[in-house]
Amino acid sequence: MGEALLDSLSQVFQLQTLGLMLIGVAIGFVVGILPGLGGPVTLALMLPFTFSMEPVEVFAFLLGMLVVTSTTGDITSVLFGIPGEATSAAATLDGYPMTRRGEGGRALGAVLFSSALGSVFGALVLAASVPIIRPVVLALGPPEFFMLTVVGLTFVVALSGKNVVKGLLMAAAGLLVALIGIDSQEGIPRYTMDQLYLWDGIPLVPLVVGLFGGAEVLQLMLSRNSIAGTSGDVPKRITGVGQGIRDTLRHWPVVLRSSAIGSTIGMVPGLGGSVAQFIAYGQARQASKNPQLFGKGAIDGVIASGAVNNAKDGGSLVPTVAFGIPGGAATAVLLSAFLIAGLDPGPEMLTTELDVTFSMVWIVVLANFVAVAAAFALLRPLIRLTFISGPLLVPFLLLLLGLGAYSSSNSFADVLVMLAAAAIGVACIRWDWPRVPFLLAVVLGAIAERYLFLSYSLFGWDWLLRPTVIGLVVLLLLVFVVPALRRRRQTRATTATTTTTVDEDVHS
Amino acid sequence: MSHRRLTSLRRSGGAALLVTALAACGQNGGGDGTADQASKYYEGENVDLVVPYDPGGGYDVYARALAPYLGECLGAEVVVRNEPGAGSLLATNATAAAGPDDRRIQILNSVGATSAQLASAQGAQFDMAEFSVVGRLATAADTVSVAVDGGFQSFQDVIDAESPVRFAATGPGSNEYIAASVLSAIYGFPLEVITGFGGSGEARLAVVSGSADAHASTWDSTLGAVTNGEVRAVVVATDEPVELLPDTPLVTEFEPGTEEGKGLLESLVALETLGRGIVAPPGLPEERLTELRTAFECATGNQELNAQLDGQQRPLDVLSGEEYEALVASVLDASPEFTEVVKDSF
Amino acid sequence: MKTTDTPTGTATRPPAVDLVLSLGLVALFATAFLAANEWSVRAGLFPRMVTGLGLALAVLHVVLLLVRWRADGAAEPTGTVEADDEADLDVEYIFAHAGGRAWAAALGWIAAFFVGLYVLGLFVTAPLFALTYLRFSAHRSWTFSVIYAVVTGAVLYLAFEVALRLQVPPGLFL
Repeated sequence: MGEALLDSLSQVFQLQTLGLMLIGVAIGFVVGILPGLGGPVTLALMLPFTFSMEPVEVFAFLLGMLVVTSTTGDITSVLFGIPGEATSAAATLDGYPMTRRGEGGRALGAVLFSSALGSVFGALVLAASVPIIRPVVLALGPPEFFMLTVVGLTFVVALSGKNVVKGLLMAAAGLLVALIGIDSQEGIPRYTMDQLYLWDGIPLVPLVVGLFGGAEVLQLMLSRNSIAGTSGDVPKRITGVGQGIRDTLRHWPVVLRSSAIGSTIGMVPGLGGSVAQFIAYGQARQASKNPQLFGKGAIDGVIASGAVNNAKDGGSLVPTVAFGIPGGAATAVLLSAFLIAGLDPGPEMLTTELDVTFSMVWIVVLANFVAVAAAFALLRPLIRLTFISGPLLVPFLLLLLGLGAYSSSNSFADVLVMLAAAAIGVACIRWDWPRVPFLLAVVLGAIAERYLFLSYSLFGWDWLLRPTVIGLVVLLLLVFVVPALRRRRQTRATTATTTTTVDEDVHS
Repeated sequence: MSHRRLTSLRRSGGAALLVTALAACGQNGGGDGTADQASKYYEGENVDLVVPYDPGGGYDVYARALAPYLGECLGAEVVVRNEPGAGSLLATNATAAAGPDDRRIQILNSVGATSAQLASAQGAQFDMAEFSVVGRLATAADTVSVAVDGGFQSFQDVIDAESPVRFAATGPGSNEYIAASVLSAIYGFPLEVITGFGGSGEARLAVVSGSADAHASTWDSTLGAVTNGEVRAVVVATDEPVELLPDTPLVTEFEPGTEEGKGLLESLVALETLGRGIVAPPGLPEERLTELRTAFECATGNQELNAQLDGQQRPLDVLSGEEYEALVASVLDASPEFTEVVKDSF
Repeated sequence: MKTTDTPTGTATRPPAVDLVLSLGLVALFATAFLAANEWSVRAGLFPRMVTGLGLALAVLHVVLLLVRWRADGAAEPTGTVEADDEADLDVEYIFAHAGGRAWAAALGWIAAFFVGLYVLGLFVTAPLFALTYLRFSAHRSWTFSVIYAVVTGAVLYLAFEVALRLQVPPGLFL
């Protein structure tokens, strides 16, 4: 195994392979920054170019491109508040408020550096799981996946902010939205309002882009200020990047935990990065010393979203490599690349073709480091953008919203979904309802139902007794309920100082 | 059982090709076609080749492979467009509603679309008989796979089953579901279809791990798992042997117990033979359809394209427009019994 | 910045918006619950659970709002909300304090952009919107606006149509 590891490294360090990886990274860099125009479409567009490549070259090119999109997606999230990818929504929550405070450099430094660390973690998970990959994936089934969605849903409470009832209501609304579409049991169209477009459910990318990006663009149009502050005086020096890196190092437990969450959830088909980001974010909030800063520009929130995003890529390769099961839309395209490269995903990837698998590990790490280095080089001009007059950015940002939504299924209905989501997002901010529980429930709802029915159809009620399920229940109690109880006890001790907060926005 | 060798043979400076190709993107590659006739409808124009699914997956791969060659033969720019939605119904409805002036062609999951029409499924707003049929690109006969060391070792075991055979599927109306329930109707074995899997891969994994008994999926998507030794392909629902699955028996080798079963089997084989078709909007004028069909034959005859797809284990298996049209008509003319069985899968 | 609709600071005012939103959710969940009751057990189980839960929560929230309102009415009127030191930068603050005209203008521009995208397509709308928005809303010079518009249009066309051949909103006339 060690031999294969070194062997694969020498394969990656071929001039041609590295060159292809750099081209891939460059493409992925741009694509990641543009919302909506995400990994899957670009990968499919680039697929024909790989017909004449060697396997390692194919993955250097495609995988290099793919992993970079999640890194640079965070840049758009932090700078403009518009998620560059569906998996970069959590980065807007705290990264964007920091940018608006003029701390864009620090936020970007933190998100990029934690991305790099996260990618290393994810790659290590992929490499380390090689001997145990198959039994582990086979031992996990719908019951475990269902329990993971339940774990995810419990984070609704942590992500609700100060009004838990509102959070739960938003989550219920999210679950309702998740129900839209053809049900997988009887093929009945549910809440589709006679629109075929809705049969496949509400598309995630337009939803995320609208929910998080719409409000920010509108805000810019209303305030007419630059993103970072009031007037147009661009600071001579962009500072804080180094501080962001130091923040990341200081918060290493957040990086580690978020990376672990990312690579674990990345392994579950159907869950993937759009869920992992919020679980990591919620976890960071729970563990944080200042949870009240979350949503207002907490650096540990930024770090968590950066790390989780890139750790998930390594994780999502696990089922793809070992069983040919795509972890998400992007890996589905990557799967075609296996066939083009003349490889069959499955056991042989872990034996005779082990060098290719390990080359992926190296590529994930290398591509991310190249991208992060490039991003640091481009940081200054990018951050300058946040200091120029807001209205100048408006045409550009509206384009990002429109195209980002449209590219989801090349239908104008995507744009309408985005606009509806934007309206919800604006209303949520205006009247102080939390957005995150809504999105989390949309993503988890449909999966939860599928896996619940599958668990029952496959195992009857016995699925409740599976050891891994019981283990997850215990974990749920430990991770979630215990800190909540402890905090409640603490707040009860220190309370009486803070009066019950008024929900209404009262500015006099 | 890797087929890396083939790829290596064709390897000729991948990077160089990529760079030139990227550079060439900027230039419009029109005007060099064989202009034997003066007025060609598609020549020099943009033609949309619609894939009714997201990128990735068999239909997308076939379409993207075909596009440049079809473009060359038409003298046009063939652009692949993904229009996912409602299974594949949204794009197929749109093609059916498009006019003859739209330069739009579509790759079609003909098995699924024809079944949807037979079952008068909700949302299917097209008539397979009305499409201007360009041809069949490839077969996609469903193949039943079981766990290598499970209770079922052959399709005969499945037929002889006393308790319900648990087939994994994504949902009602999917090809997986239809194949399983029609096979059960033909051979009279008890069946339970377990739905809710996120995709074919997930469904197959349930078979590998032993929580489901069997899974029916197109032969090309099953192939990888078979060569890997993860699953055993026990039957392929067609009457022509699949070259890459030489050891898998054909469904026609198993005699149904009843007369009705025999009739159903015939219809199933015809349905499964439909495979992956290319169609244009209804009512296309004769000369435009001929232009498309000629270009289709020209493109699918291209050695390079064939080698490329063979290398991906996704070979072409072409039927001409005329043959395909007749085949579609014969399937639509199915017996009421068959229609009834298909209806039960929705 | 014009601020017209300044909410009154008295706590006895009912939490009108939250009440309306919650009542709206009550109606939404109730309708969805009724719709779910027409489906078979397997297709309807999860929807019934979700909408039932949602309905209960929405009703609970309405009750809580009313109870709290009455309690607050009895108590002393509350002053300011906690921590608003950076208030004028907060998105919430901007949304709450932008005047009616600013709202109408912003929403009008957005509507114009997306209707344009639908009717005229991307390659017409993008430069046109950039030109008019910069000239008439951002009050930039004609030269600046024209250059911005031309560059936007050219970059979009080169990237999406020529290089990547990606699908963009085509408009109704194409």
